[in-house]
Amino acid sequence: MNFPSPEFDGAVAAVCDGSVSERQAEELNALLRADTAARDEYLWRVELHARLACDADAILGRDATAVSEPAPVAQSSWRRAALALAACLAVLLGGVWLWPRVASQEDIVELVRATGSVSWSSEDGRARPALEAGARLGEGSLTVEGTASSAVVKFRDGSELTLTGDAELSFSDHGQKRLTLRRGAFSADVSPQPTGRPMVIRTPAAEAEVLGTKFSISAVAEQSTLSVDTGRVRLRRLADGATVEVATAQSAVATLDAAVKMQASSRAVTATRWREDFRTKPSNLWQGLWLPAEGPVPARMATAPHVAATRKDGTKVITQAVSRKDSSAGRIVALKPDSVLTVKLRMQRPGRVTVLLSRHETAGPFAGNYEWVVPPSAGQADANGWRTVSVPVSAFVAKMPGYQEPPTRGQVSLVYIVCYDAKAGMEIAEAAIESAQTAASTNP
Amino acid sequence: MNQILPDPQDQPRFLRLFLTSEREVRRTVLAMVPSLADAEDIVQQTAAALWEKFAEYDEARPFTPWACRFAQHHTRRWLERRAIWQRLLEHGLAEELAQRREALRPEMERRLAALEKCVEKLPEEQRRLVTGYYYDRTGIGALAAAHGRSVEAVYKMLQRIRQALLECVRTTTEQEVEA
Repeated sequence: MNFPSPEFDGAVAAVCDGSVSERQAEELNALLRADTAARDEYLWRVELHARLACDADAILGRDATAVSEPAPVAQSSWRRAALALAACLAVLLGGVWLWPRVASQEDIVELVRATGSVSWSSEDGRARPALEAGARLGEGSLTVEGTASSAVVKFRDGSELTLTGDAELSFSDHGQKRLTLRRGAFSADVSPQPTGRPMVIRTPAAEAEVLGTKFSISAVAEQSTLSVDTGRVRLRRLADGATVEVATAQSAVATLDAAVKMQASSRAVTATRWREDFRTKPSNLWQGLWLPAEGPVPARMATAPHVAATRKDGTKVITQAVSRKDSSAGRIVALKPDSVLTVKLRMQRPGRVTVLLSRHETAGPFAGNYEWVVPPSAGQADANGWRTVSVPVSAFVAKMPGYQEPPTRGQVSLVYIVCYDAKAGMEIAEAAIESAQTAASTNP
Repeated sequence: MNQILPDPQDQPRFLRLFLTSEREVRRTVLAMVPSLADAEDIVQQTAAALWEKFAEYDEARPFTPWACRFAQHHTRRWLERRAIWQRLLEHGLAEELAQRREALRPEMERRLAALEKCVEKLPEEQRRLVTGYYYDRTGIGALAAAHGRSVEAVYKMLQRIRQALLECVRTTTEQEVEA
């Protein structure tokens, strides 16, 4: 392709009309890189086309709107829009047009799905807050903020990681994938890795080498828990270098305490009934403020401020929540088709309350978040304002694309009860997930 | 749970803000993806995404730049799925175009201000064609039927009209300078 030439004219027109062919794109690319005059002409033509299209009402609309819209109004509108847009357009153009080349050379993973606050940063200080699905990310750290937040990233070889809850994961891939889970948890479905170059995952307490398998790993303080769904993963404790092979349906825990024998064990079958009434101080798996019984007032959990998300400007979205997460010993409860969630709560000021469940496959990977908004009219309040509300888990609504199966099987890994009003004064006296029959007999 | 849903009562306020910014959002997309149909899809996706995230909009900040960032993001996602655009912009051309466009921007603003006058000078049939394509957004097939021409001929006419308009804005500006 030469410039000027009918071929150039046709190719630029095809770009504008959305009919450019692969051959035209290639030839135009070569020409525009080599010929500055052609490049300028291309920019002029595209700009003129864009102005005709988006300012058509001002430039072309005089005839069509002559009766109702006098020309001077249209003209001033066009000029005002032209001036206002210029800066924004140029900045955005730079960012977007630079993107394809950068993406092809540096990106390691693609963010397939994102819920809540997901951000990326690099060691040299670059940062991309409030990521959305489709973002391509280079070497750096992915941060997921908020208990109910999640992110699914996929490597070029198809290996997929699902981060759930508050988590921070650094990743690089210079022929060998190296991950550092600083906090939080993720499930992984790892494609077969090149011989001699396994995926290496490091946590504050351990290091795992993965050749291709499905597993989950979490890092809480100085304890790391590895659960293997299929395949085999070698886990090495950093404190003394002790290793253990973790096989299908097994899990192992590594801490910084080298005196504890490290071993893989079959994961316990999770019970199908779970109930908490807070009569004794709950474990640190609970988030919230525990309040002991006072006369007729039962023991309960008051909400605590919780970072649910981070806005693009860096400010936090704060909610009031009581939550229970799972432990290295197992999930909270196994789900059945007739499982029912029951919550006994009261509020000083009525407001919206939402319950979120995170689900994992039975002895398997993350399987989605589900939500139920407590109807304001649900449950009759007693003299002290306590309401008991129940709902079949099958009524929970799937909240994550790609995880649409009803939560009637698998295991619950998080129960999260939240309100958005800081002055709502929500307290939870009981929380349970059990069969409908048991719930009916317990909460007549 | 973490995603704050927009309040349906905010819809009128959102629509007012969006309609105010729509032209700039549309221009942002069109300058990057000139195809009208594709740009329209991207603008619609942008509008839907803006509404979904409207609860996170900080009223202390202007709406239009916020909307433009969404437009940028959705355009980026669109480009990501189009290998042909990668072909067009690869080997550093994207950077060169962005830089060169920035350099040309003052001149573009000055010269394209004459675009309206140049459109007025077009012969009647050409003006109707441009109006149908850009203002009414009539499809090429329907335009071809309305003008009694083939689809290929209409594409060719549009191409020549744009070139003529570009020549006109250049000439008009030069004449103004000389005058």
